[in-house]
Amino acid sequence: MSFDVSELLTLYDIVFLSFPERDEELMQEIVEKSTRLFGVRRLALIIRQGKKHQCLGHWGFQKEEEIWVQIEKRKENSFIYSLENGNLGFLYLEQAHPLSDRDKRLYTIFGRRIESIIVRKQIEEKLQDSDREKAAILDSILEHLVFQDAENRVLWANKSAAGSIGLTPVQLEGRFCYEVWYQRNEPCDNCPVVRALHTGHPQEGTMISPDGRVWFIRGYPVKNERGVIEGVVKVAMDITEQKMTEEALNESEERFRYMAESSPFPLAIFDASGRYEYINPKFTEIFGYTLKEIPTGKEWFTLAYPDPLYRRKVISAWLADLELLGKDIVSPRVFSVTCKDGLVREIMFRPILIKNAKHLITYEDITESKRAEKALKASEETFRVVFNNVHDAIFIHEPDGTIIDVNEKMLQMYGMDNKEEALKLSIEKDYSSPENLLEQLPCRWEKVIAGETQLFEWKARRPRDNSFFDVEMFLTKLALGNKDVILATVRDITDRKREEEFLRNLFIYSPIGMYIVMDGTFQFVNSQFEKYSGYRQEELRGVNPLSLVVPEDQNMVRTNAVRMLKGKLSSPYEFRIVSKKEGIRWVAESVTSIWYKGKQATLGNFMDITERREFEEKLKYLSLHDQLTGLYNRAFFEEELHRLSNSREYPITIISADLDGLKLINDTMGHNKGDELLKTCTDVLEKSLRSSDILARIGGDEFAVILPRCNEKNGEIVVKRIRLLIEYHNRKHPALPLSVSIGIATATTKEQTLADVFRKADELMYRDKLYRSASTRSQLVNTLLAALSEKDYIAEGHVKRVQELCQKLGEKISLSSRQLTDLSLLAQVHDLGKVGIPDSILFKNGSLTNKEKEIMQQHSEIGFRIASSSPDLAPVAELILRHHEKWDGSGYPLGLKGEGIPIECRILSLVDAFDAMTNDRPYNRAKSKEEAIKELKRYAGTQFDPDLVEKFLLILEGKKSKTQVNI
Amino acid sequence: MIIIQVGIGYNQEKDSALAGHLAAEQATWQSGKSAITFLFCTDNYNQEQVFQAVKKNIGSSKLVGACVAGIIIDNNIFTKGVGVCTIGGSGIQAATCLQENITNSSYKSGEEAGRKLLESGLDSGTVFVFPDGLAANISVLLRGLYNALGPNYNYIGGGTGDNLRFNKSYQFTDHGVSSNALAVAVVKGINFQVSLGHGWKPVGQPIIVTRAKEKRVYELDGLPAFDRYSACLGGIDKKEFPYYSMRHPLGIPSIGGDFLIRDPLKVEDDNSIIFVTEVPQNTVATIMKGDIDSLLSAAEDISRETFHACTSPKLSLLFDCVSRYLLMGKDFEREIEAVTKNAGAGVPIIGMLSFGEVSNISGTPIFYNKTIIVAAGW
Repeated sequence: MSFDVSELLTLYDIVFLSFPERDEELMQEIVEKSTRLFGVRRLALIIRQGKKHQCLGHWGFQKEEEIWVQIEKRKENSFIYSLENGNLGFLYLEQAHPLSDRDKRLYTIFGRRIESIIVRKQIEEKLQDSDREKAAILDSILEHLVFQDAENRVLWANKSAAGSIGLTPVQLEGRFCYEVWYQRNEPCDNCPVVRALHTGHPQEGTMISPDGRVWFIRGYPVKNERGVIEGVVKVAMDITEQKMTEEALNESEERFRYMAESSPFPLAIFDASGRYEYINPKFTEIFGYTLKEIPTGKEWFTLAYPDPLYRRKVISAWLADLELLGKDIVSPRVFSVTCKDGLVREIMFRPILIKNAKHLITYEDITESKRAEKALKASEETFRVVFNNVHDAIFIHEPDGTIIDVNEKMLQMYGMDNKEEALKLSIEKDYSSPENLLEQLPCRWEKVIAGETQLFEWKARRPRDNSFFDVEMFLTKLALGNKDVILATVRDITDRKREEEFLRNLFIYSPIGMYIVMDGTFQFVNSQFEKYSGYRQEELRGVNPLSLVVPEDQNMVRTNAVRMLKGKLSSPYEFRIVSKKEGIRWVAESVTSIWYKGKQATLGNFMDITERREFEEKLKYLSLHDQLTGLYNRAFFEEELHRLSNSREYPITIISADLDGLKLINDTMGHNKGDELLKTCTDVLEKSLRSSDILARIGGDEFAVILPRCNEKNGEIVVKRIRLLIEYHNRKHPALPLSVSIGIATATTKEQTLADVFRKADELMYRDKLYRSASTRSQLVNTLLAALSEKDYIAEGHVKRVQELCQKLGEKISLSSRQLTDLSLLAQVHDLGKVGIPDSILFKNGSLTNKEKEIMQQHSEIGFRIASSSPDLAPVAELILRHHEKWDGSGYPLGLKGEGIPIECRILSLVDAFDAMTNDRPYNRAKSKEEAIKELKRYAGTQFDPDLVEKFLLILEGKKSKTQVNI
Repeated sequence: MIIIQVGIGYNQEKDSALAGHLAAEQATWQSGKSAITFLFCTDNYNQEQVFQAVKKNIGSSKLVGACVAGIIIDNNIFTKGVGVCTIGGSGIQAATCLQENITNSSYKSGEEAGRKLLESGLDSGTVFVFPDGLAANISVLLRGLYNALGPNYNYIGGGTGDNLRFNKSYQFTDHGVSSNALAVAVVKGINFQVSLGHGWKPVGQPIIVTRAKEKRVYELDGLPAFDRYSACLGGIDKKEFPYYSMRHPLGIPSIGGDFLIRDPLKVEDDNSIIFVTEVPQNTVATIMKGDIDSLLSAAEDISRETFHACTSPKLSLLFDCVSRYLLMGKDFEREIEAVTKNAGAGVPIIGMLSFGEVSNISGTPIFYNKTIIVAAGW
């Protein structure tokens, strides 16, 4: 059998029946206890009156007759307790289930208790009858009845009382009750009869007679008409058996010890001398002390209360309680007990007086509950302090808005003088601006009571001066006593609003694109952002920001944004977005974490850097490309050489190519023609190569090609293709033929450095150039002369005529054969330089401007350069340069005079002028021979050599003269 | 074999008549002709208008019900609305009684109500009890009712109350609407499996209720009730009473080692304590302790016990103490879930937040506090 609190309480409850005056009340008590404690579903209390039975009360029977039917049937779920062995009647109890032994035991205790009550009630009732009847009746009953005076002398006793000590009632008269029944010389301690005499009220209690029997004694004071106590009636009932039964069930040592041993509370028993008889295991567990360590209260007090002052206080209280025990109810006390381990525990003591003047003490460790209680109180105090000292105003109000409490801050914030005044006003009418959506308030309150919280901005009002200010309100439910109320926390956000306004303006009008992203989508963007992105705010709301980023950049943007938010990146990162209107744009962005509408959000700002990026791209391109041809430049080429040196692209072939005659073209036909030739060369080379080949212009007329994964054989194929395309080109464009010198070398492994291979290709190219140079130059000069003849419309036959006259004049003055050959060649090519003069000047109608004249005069030098580059013309190059010098030194380009001018040039100058005058020109009609001769004579000695003029006139006149002209 | 048709309707329209009409219409649409109708209505409504609207929709059906602090419909708890449960089926018989002025003589009122029900000729069945939870000595009322009807019936029900305002509560039967009354119905033809539990455990020493009258306890252990109660808790202040009383009710021993819970409500100036329900004098009591887990565990246990005992329940009725709802807060939903989970899908559930719960599970009808009662009908 285990310790069961409910079992113990049930036993207690059974015996705690009262002595109600009315039978009806007794029945109610019986019904209440029997239904609750036993589940009794029917009961009846039958009292025997003579031979008849009278039902004192029943319950659960629709009719009284059913009681007798049930009693007759006597099923195993019913119990009958015979009162006074049936002499007094019986108690019928019926439950739903068959009776167990426990049920029978409990019903017996219950029945016995009811029996004693009924007996006593009957006695008490009968005491109220007449003396005669009283005596007769009282004599007939078994309880001891004694009437004694104020000095406890027996005035009258019934037969039972007298018979208990072997005397007759008469023999007892005049004797002291304590002497007769208790063999004492003075009244017993705590005797109910003595107490009744002293108090004037009925008293009751138990007494134990010297023979060990237990008596329940009740003393009734008897007063005369003046209210003076004349004596007391003592009713004594032998309850030894009953007590024994109850004790056997409730308080038997074994049972008690069992319960005590397993009790969750410390227990101790000590005797009247203060010696501890028993402590249970829980006692030692809690306090640490064993029975050996505290044999008496003295040791206990010394150990448990080391502080002498406190100990004295405890002992004093303890003695006071002991005095009261058994006389009055003693309240539990709480002391701080020092345990063996030094720990101080808060212990609640409950002393109970048990039999043989022993005391049972129960101890309850309430340290934790005390601590919790203190913590709770501290928490409440803290709450109050916090309540009044927080920076927010607080309202506590009913669900209908009636204000219950406000804090100090509220009074300050709303400009109120005192709390009483503040509580009288209305949240809606007095503390809120009419601009608010006031009708929403009750709805919000309803939601709060339902368990939601509310956070919203509100325009608050100061009732005193009708001023308004911005607040943020937070509403939550608060349990106050048995009801739910609302706790409204109000924060003044005037400054914050101002700041927000400032920031909003900053945000809206910022020249930087700004946006706020929360929960992965745009929440807000400024107008500059709209401009950059091309999207309106409405279109962007709810859109994932990454969707604007070009797919290739999305991962980078995500990574950098996260790094920046974590503080690992500080400089803005650049990426491309797809603008609605302008396509792909470059932006530079930085992000930071902010709080927006109560949540964490990201504030991003970026600038459109498209122009800068394009400029940079261009710069980058330019730094690696040749501007004219668009090919890579030398820097890139060298970088690639270096890069590929360590690559797996071997074999690598390198071609070095040089455009022949570029300088000649530039010098004679101008740089435009030279550039044209370079572009043509580029086209030819590009067409010959694979897309993976790297073609670069590495100098003015130098090209180089890297052919990765290309062996020597394939490299030769590429070169052949180049030459084929050049040939094809030259057939189509004979006016500006292309000639390219090419060298090729191949690196098969990494051991051959690409720089060396390139050098080898370059050398081979120069060898090719040497091989090709003479023929190239002749080809070029011929091409130029052909070009010149195409332009020579002014002198259809001019060259031939001049050649003949020069020859005649040369012969006339006896020039050597070499001079005559040069003169003939000079006559043919002297205007070779005109291929480099723009047609607009060359063929201009009318006189030339000074500037044009200057350009026109350059043809002497151009012709000189061309002729110098041609082995065939080189002998006359110097003559070409000087063929416009004049006798008097006013010619050009050198301003030579007289005989400083080569004879060939003086001859050519004279003959050329004559032929020009005597033949039509687009802008000048031909002169007659005479007119021409006249002009020659006129300028003889200024423009022309006068001797030569003279000799030339002779030729023209057909006269022979052998003259020597100084050469 | 009786085939039971159950309909449950719920509505929270603002208009009382409309809410009553729609809830009743919804229920009767499911059940067809009803023999007995249960009506639960929160105090936000005009009770008379709701009653009339429901009555129009249920035809000749008997009706019983009350104004309640909250309505449980399946998995939900509503503190506003009208809930109607109609039960039909051939062979189901019902009789009702609206016993008024029950405060004056609770025992006799109970007996009288019982006698009136007996007049219907229904000699067995289940008695549904809805007493005004704010008024009478309900334990005594139940004893009177039982004394008249006897042990041939099962008893189940709950004390009725408004929405925690302690103003006035209403009881309904098909006879009308009243306050300070007992609405009671006996229904024959439906079997009910009933379990109850509370989850509170004794933690204190025995205390004797030395002086008490109905709901007011003057003395415990011969001391002013609050002084003793406070001492048992290590000394509490009167201001702390609502906090502690909610968590530490009194328990008085009951059959089977169980405890009847008695809920302390407030402290009077003379340091007597008013309880939600009457406390008998000369009773041994003790301080109880419970927490949300122990309360939920009790709900789970009794739900399992109830629904395991019947194979195919047609409906479930729930009487759950309003103080459990207040104590548990949001966790109360878990309590209802414990019931619905064990009931299984398709078993309609209707219940009320009660001011005390009634069951005869221990033999005779007893008025419980802070308890949950689960009944499965088939």
